[in-house]
Amino acid sequence: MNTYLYPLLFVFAMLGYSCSMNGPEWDVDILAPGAETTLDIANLVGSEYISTGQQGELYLDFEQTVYDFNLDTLTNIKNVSSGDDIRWVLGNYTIPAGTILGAQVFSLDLNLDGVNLTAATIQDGQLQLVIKSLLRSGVTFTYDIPDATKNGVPFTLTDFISASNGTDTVLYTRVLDLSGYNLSLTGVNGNTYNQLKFFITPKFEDQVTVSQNEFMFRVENKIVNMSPSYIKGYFGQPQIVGGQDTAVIDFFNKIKSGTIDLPNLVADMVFENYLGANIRIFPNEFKGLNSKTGVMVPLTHPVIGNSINIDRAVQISGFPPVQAATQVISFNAGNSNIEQFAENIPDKILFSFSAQLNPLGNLAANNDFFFPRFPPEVKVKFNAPLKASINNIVFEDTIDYNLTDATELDNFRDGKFRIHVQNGYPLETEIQLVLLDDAGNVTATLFTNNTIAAAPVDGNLVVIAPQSSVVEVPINTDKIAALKSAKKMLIRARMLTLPQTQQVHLYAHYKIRLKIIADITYHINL
Amino acid sequence: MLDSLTYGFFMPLFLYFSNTATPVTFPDQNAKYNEVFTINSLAEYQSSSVNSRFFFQALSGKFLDTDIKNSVSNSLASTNRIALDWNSELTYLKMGDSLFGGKNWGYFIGFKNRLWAGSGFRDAVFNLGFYGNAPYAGQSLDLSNTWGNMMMYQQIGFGLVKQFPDKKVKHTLGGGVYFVNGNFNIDFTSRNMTFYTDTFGQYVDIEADFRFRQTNPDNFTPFFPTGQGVSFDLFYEIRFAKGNALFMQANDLGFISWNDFSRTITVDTAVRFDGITINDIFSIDDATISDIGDSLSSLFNAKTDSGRYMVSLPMSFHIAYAHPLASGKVWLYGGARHYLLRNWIPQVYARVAYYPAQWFMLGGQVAYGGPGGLQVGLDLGFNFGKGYLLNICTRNLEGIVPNTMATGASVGLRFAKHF
Repeated sequence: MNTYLYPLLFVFAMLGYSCSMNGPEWDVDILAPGAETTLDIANLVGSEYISTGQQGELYLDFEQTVYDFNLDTLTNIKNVSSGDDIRWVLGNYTIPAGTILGAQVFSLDLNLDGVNLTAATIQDGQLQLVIKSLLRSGVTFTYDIPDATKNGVPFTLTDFISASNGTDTVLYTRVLDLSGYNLSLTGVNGNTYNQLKFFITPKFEDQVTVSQNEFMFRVENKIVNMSPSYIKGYFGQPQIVGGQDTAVIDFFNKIKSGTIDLPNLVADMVFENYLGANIRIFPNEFKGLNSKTGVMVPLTHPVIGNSINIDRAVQISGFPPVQAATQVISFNAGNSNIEQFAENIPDKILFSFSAQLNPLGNLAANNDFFFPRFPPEVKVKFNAPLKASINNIVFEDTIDYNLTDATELDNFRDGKFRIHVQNGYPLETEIQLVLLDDAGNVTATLFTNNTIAAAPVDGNLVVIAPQSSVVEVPINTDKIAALKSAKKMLIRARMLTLPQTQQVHLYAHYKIRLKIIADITYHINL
Repeated sequence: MLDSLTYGFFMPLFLYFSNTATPVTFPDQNAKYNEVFTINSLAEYQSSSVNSRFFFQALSGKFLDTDIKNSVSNSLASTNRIALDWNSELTYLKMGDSLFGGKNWGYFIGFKNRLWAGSGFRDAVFNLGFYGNAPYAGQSLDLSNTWGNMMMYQQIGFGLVKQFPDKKVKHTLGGGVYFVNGNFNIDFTSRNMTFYTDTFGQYVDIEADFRFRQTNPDNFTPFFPTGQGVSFDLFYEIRFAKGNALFMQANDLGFISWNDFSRTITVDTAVRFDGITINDIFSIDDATISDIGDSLSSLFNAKTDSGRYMVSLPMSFHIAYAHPLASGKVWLYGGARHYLLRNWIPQVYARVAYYPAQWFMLGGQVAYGGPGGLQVGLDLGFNFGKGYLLNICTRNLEGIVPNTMATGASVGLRFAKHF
């Protein structure tokens, strides 16, 4: 630039500065604490999997529903229909205007396969009412379903059908919402099942002359897409055949490799019957698959391959409205190969169950009940002391995060985040954070010097004091860009208990304290 | 020439009512007039340590690299000064009227615009601000007694001038009063402030005792009426028979009261920041990053008050002596200026103006003090006849080309029409 232009630059720069306030830029070197956090084993594996004993010792407390019995056959109400003609049964007669006929009674059979329902509560569903009239009088009618009540009030409808010319049928159609109605299905006389009764009471608005056996009108009722939230009756003795099914064990699915020695493992298989009917369950097979190693370990126990009878549930007031009958089958080293099964670290369990309802017949005298929201289910529960010898277990978990709008990161240039770790666990850990794009491709890895030393233990294998380590995350503008653009972060940790081959108990007071120190170049742009 | 100069009724020695302490040029040619319309603008920055290269880089929004930061840092004293002052004035002065039943009165009407910023700061303030805290880990940085103030305002005013001529001396007195329209202000004053970074960055200790005042941050708009005030200018000039003269002036004796949308933040605390606590490190999001800044702010337990506050204008005092030589072809000046500001040391200057021709003036000035150090100025004047004058000047010839030695830069432009 020509030197004589600088005074002008001065003036114009000042003018420009006062108008645009675009300021200078420079870099500063920041050394400062950013954040600190405390982790424990519950953070890592999920607090729902951890329980604490009286001495502060930790237990792996795992529970997962592996199977829900499908009882759709009990609740499958078809779109059935019925139709009845109303004729004048007396001789020729002139009916004066205002005459009310006696109530005409109809019944609709739900036609359920092998299931005799005496009551139901409708979750969703309609009833389609169709009336076809050839009467030469307008008719005001009252349509009642006395066995359909909602909040104690029976269903009733009053409406009007216009007069026919005697030749052309007058068609009346109405769809009636029965959602939330309690139905009694004991029929006209109250002694049968699957029957819903209706009444229709016509009132002649015009004088009309009718002859004997003359057709007056036809009433048709049709169930439309009805599903119950509750049924009661006798459900029969259907066989419920379950094919082989697979349950994914989320926790073990995060362990990618390594071995673990779990002593004193106790596991329960819990059958919870929310069905108001006796049930006999046949646990045909139960196998654990470690899909990383391909090793499958069948669980052995006297109950596997045999049957278990489970009592019926009890209906109660409140919510849930049912108290399940529970049958617990315990697995331990004495009656099964549960330790071998668990140490295989199965991330999938392959199993098959079948069942039979009411194996001993209608013991409850048509008082079986079922809330479809609460089907019978099979749960697997593990309860094992977190006293293990862990040998290079590699734990992986992917978390979602979002730093897209963290504009503060835009000004980071280079440097590193130092993470000071106070490890209170006797676990040597190598940790790595991997950034993933939407397709799951690796865009960056964060750590170097990523070994966290194990805390030393005393003769009782209890930690003496936390061990300090420093792991580092070098950053540059590319890595910051990757950090902002990625939406997922893979956490990978390889863990090894020390001393090796000794089973170390973990306690609730063990913690990992992390403190993140920023040692970075930060760009300032005023 | 001397006679006309000495007894010329109108011609002042310095621009009356100007904040720029600017001598009037071509006094002999224009003594016959008794009215003058002037457009005058002078922009200058002065510093004890911030060199002109750094200043221009910063002002033009460019990147300040390590070399340029070092050039300032290496010349820092324990306490340092910097000021930016941009005066623009539009004035009309008429002399020779009869007012109040007497003769030799004059009056003045003026509009002024001023952007002023100044600061006094510790060397650690610059180093911390431009290098960051990492190079000073393990050291306690003293940031005490640092202040900064920036304001922009306009003045519209009226003044009276009275001359008392006799055969030997001529006394001239003047005073002006202005309505002040303030646009924006930032005012920061620290008393005791220290900043300590742990050697390993585990924590930062901050001892802070400061006050920060600011007008509505959503409206930093030039000419917007954010505050109002009043100011006064006063001067006295005595002209001797031989043309030599003494001039004394006080400017911007006044204040601005900023409006209710202003706020004052006071902090008096000692805090240790050792990071924010994250409860769940597996659910980091944008807010987590923002929380770090919020957490740091909340640590200070700042007391924020909204409402008016008042600041004084940058009051200045100027005394000068002028002496003509060689029948007015050469004028010598000596003077001193002072602002009632903490970043000023009294500024003294010597000046010479040489008129080799009736249409041209070549002037030079050497000054020391103020917010800066040694300054060497150059002044060029052009007389186009019929009362038209043009002056271009700099008071910092040493800084006109950005360099790392000069710690000031300025440029002035003045146009005058005498009637």
